[in-house]
Amino acid sequence: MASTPVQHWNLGIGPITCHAWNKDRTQVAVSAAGNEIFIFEWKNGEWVNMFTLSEHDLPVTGLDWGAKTNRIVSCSQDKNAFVWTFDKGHWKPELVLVRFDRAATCVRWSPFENKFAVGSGAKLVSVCYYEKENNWWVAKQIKKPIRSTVNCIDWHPNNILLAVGSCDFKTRVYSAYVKEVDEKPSPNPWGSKMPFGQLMTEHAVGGWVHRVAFSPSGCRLAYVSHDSTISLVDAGNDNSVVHTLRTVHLPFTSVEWITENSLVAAGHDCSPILFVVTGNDLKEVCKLDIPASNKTSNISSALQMFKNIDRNAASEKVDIHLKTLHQNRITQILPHSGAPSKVLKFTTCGTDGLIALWDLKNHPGLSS
Amino acid sequence: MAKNMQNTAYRKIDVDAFDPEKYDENEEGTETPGLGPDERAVVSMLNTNRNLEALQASLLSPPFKTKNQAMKDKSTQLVAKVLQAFKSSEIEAAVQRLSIEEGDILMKYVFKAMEILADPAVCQSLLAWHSQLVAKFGLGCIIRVMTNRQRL
Repeated sequence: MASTPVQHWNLGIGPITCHAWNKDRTQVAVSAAGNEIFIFEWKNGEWVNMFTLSEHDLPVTGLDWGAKTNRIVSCSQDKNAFVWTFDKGHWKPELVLVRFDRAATCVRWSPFENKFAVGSGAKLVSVCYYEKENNWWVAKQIKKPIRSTVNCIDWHPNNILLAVGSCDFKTRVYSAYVKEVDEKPSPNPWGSKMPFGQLMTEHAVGGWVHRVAFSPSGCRLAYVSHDSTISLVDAGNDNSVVHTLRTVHLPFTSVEWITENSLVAAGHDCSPILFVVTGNDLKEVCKLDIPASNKTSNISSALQMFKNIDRNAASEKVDIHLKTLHQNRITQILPHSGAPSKVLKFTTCGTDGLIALWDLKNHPGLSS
Repeated sequence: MAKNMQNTAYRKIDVDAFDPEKYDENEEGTETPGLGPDERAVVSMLNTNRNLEALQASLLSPPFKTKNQAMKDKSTQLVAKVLQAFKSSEIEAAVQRLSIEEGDILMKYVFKAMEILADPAVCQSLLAWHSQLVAKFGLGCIIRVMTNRQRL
């Protein structure tokens, strides 16, 4: 990895809050700080903006592209969510009544893509499913006992359980079983009785939770919070015990499993970091962004030097270029290629407007 | 006319307190509050030049949960006293011996001491401790002090 530079693209739309890939990774939906969703397609070696979806009124906060059904779901600060379907060369929006009185914060398709969940600042999560009789998306709400803004959600691979991380310093696992569309769930390590809205587990942390993620098997749950920690709950072992690793880094905003035993976290430190699960505990392996030894260009001319002095009002050259690829916070990690239990490549997007594609192949830290 | 019309105390009940939606960020946790370090033991260790032991003893049972500000300040002053007992050359070695939990607690005390003991001599030592703590436990240590709701 050190030898091949990390592929990255600047889409030129400003800070990227979230991105979502289509099934074959030829198209990407991104949202910048605004109310528009851009769909880029890879054509002749560059990303071309094919569509601009501007149905939302306020900044878009969440995007997810269902690979099976080729539908995009988006949510925004304007309290709405849309399901977009591609029909006759156009993306058609369909408004979903999520019944929020605060901004929507995050959205995820369930693994079977027959329902999706939207988190919001109204201290609740709406689980939405399609009602055929009425041709309408219907929302069921999970409220208790969430006591602050929901920051992140993630689906268990069984399509039933939903992990919710929120600003009340808690991570919870709920049942999102909808009897209209789901088959009766079988008992699993998180519990056996699963009516809709049932709280399965609850775990406290020292900061608001930025991202939760179920492992590929669904037996483990990882989450990162604003106190620079990464936590692990292993339900195969005991679903009430949480193992928290305090790190030396700035807080992580995103975490993603790459195998059943390893995960990648990234955030305000601008570099993805690899963690592995050994026994019960998490262990930090390494930063995946190996800085080039000399990225900074030397002062080329005397004129340049005086310009620098003038600009920075300092006698020394002040270098504000970070050694990492991302020059600002990483906002999201998404798996790119490989199976869920063996991710080969993943992408990150950041406030610096970059999308980077990281290749895990032959990485020394992943030999285990 | 009903007899209890004179009694208007019920009007003063804070009904908002009974709102199930109400979220008090300080009510978290029902563990027994830390009672602060054992001052006498810490001082006796200091007097017998067992500085590192005194430091570790002073970081035990921090009074995060109590609402008694005087008790919190007293603990902070005690920890600051212990920190001053170290020579500047000894600080690095002492920090290396701390666990990450102790490091986080000490960082909280250092910030609190900067707030309430604004004496130039004290602050000089506090800044030395601060830089050594950051060197060992990184920026994450500062972030945890700022994020955590259990304050000193």
